Amino acid sequence: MEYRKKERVTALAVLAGALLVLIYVIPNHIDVDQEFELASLSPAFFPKLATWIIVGLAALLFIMTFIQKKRQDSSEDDEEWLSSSEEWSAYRSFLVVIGYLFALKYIGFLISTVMVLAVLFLLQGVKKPLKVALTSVLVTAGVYLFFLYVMKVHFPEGLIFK
Amino acid sequence: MLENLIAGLGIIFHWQHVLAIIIGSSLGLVVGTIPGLTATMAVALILPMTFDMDFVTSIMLLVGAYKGGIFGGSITAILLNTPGTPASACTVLDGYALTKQGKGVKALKMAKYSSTLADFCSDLVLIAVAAPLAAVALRFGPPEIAMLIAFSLTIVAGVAGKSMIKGLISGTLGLLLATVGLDPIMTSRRFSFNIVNLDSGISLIPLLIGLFALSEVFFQLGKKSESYEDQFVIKHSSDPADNRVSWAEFKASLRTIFRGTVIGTGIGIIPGIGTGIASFMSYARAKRVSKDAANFGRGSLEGVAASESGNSAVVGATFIPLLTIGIPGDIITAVIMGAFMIQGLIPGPLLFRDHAHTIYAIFMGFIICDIVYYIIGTFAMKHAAHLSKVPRSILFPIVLIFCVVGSYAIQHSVFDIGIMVVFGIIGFFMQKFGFATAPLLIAFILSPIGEAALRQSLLMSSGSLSIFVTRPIALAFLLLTVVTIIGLIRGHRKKSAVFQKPNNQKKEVRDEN
Repeated sequence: MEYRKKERVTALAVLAGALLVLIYVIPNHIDVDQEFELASLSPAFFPKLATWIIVGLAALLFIMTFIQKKRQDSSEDDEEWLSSSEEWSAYRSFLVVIGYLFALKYIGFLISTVMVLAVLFLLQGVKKPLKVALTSVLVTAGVYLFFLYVMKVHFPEGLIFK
Repeated sequence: MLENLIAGLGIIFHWQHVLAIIIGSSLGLVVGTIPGLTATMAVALILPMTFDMDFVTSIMLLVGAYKGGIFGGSITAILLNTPGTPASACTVLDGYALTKQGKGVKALKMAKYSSTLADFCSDLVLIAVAAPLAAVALRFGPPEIAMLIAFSLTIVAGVAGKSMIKGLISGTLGLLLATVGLDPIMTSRRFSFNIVNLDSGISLIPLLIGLFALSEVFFQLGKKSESYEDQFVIKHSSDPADNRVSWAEFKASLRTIFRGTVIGTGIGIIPGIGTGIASFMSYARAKRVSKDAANFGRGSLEGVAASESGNSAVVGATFIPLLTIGIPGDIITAVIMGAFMIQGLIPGPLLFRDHAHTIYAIFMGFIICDIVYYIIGTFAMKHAAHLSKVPRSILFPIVLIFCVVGSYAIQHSVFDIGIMVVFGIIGFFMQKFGFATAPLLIAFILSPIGEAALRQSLLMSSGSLSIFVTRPIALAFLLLTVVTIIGLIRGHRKKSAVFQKPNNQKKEVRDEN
């Protein structure tokens, strides 16, 4: 997408999000059960102030895309970002981590961590099955034992095994 | 005072006190290196072990863990873009950039030198001027704190990245996110969406790990290795100059280190501000006055020195309000205050009258701590450099597990892991769309203190803003804020002019053709 167009879409998305917070989220999700003589006493005072600032800044960002004739420093913006296929690989790891979050709750730390490590090693192109299995088990066991006996941290056992 | 110092030296050079410093520093260093496990956690975990120890041994063990923990956090910040503690969040900006250039060892060495030097100077300040400085800190009421926070928020502009407006949006989002949970004045629920875990707000550690560490893990897991060298995330240069800090480089950063020491010490004296803020303030100030400002964020040694000196100088200074007026400077000194009380000593002015020799023994212990963690740090850095031999396909899945464990371990809460994942994804998209994540973190840390102080001030003045100009300290901070903002706008205009110049020149060349 052209740089300026991308900036406009970003500004509009931020503006829309901030307006949603102002119009819907703040009135419905802040408990204001009385009238305040001083505006600063209200629990909504600071969130409203912050959101209005975001609205103003997003509008300014949008306007700047029309005023600025060209990118001021193209060399600065040319920092490497992922290609679209690499970006999909990153999204795939989002899903693995979200899956891990649920697995932790149901099958506990030990099994889910071994599984997640093995999956991530395979996705990252580690081809030797023995290396995958051994590294996954050893890392999990090391972390588990260190945290249990040194740091006194008890990990989730999993709802299934309770 | 000299007599007390000599007596203190006699007490501290007992084998068990020195051993306590070594064990405490080592434990702190290990815990601080693990993302999410803070120096606070190291100190809190060690506290129960001190119940049967004598007073000086127990305090030395805890102080060692505190100092070691703060330095340990910097190792992974520099090598893996994963700050072990909030104090080292600012160090990632230049430390990791240097690692990407193969100069990770150089950055680690600069971190060690600047941390030790700043910590040492801060300890000297603690010994020399504890009492008079604490008296000034006592005069800070809500208006002064509100203006100090307003001044601190100008740091956001210093770490805003390429787009000032986007940096400010990121910072303001941090202010908004910090309001989740119970309102500090009226205790009303805000943005908790009927989720009980959100009533206490968004936890700092999962947010920090998500924004900085997990988002980087996502990025690295997506990246494909094109060459053999690409498989190793920590690039290691074979050029000796890239693996040491020359005297010329150290000398060039000395002014920055001393500036960071002054800022860190000043922040440490004021209760409740903390190491994270000090490192960002020191960094922003260094960037503003440096001749090499353009290199900040792209691998500046001076940037590493600024951040590390800022956060390390806080450590000694946080003991000033604790020992002189009995107010802990941060959470860690609050835990250490508990250790004082367990031993039957109440921190405050009477401590200097009734236990002067013991207190000066502790002061001398602070200095020994600096030497010990310098030596242990050197040893730890050698081993940390071995990480460069681990390929990214193995390293980043393991870092991900540490991120999960670090988020969970603080409150034993799976919900916190969820918070970390959410902020990991947010951080990833913020980077994709050019929003710097550091402003969000700074504002998130400053917001609770700032909001409470602002609203309390307005309550005190019945809504009138004049309270900020009628009190001298508040007015001084307000003027500093205004001057900084004017300086920032001028600097931004200059930068724009410099960047536009080559384009105009190019146009002229084209016209001539």
